[in-house]
Amino acid sequence: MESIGSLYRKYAAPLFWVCKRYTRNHEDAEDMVHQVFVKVQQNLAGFRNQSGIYTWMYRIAVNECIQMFRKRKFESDESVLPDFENTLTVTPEKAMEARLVLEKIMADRDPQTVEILFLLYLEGMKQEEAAAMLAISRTTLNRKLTAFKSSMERFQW
Amino acid sequence: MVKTNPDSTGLNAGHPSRFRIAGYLAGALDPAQSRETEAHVLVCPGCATLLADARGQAALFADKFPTLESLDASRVHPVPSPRHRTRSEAPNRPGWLERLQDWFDRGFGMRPALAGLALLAAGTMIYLNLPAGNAGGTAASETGSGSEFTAKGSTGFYLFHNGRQVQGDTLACKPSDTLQLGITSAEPVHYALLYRDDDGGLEAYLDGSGMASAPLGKPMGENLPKSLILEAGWKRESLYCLWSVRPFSLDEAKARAAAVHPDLSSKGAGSLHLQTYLLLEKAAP
Repeated sequence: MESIGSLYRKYAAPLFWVCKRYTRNHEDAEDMVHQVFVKVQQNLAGFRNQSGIYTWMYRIAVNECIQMFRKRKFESDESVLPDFENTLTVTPEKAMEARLVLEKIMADRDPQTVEILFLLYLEGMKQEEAAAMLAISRTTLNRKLTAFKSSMERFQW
Repeated sequence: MVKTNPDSTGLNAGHPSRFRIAGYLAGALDPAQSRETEAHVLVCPGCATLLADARGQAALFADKFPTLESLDASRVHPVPSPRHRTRSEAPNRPGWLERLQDWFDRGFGMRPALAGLALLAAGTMIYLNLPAGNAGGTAASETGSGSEFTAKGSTGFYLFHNGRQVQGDTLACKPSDTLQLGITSAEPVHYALLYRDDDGGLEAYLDGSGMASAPLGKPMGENLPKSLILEAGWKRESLYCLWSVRPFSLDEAKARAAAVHPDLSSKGAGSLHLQTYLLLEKAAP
């Protein structure tokens, strides 16, 4: 098992970049990386290496990002939208829809659906990548995705 | 190359995910995934930019918090949560590197003392390839045009003088001449440009760390984003061009340039490599 110091040296800086793209400011991203490593320290002894340490830590970071979105008010402030570059193209006309979708995503009562949506639509993962990270089958992932899409039809998105 | 996956959501089809890019930076991918990512980045400008941004941001974080203890220590004092921060407080004051970058964006890549004057004038440039021990000041010649440049192989800078590629390490210039530098490299590298002026001091044209968010370099060459326009009023100037696969600080670049000597040639991954051009004022006809 790698030491926490070794994990930090390998993964902290890349994870900072991941967080920074959502927080859009250094200080909040630094806070999130710190929180990730607090949780890694707390849970490292119980880690069973099912998915690889990097995948596990990345998922912790993603959940920190999700928590941040849950806390933020979306309202009309576009600055809380994540950086969609290379994943989604958000034109000004689409900004409101994007906020509505994000609100809908974050308000979903099923945490796993939130993770799936986050990984697919914001992280740009393929379904197989997301399913592997969440340790679920692609059938399960597709079922939850289909249910979410049905609920989103009114947004025509 | 990363192939389009039929299971993709369609939002990021064919491009590596952030998970993959961060994993590539962390060295967490298996060799096949690393090769796929590298191959894709070489042909996809968007992903190359994304990777460059990731490298730059990661380097800034690693410099600021090299250990978990340093990050822990910085979090001792609670900071306001995002929802308590007002819009005016939210953006961090840009660091000096970002300000430098901004300055260059506005200042056209000139040294501070000259930025307020008419644009740069005549110079000379040396092209000293230290690792090769070629410090002899070979007279420069110019061949071809930018579009004809086809340098391949080892990493290094190349120079265009008024649009023509320079061969050699010494260059006679006259006021208002334009110099364009570029880098040829198998992978993007961090770079810096320094100059030693008539007073002997070392100053930055472009700082490596400041440009860390956008490392450059392609096998067929990639031009630096800013040209240098030479200004009259000096006789000679050395231009130090440094590059490394890793980010580096201005102080490190200065130390490397100050210790210019063939015996200090850089070797190994992460070394700070140096090329030097000598600019001489071209005698009036």
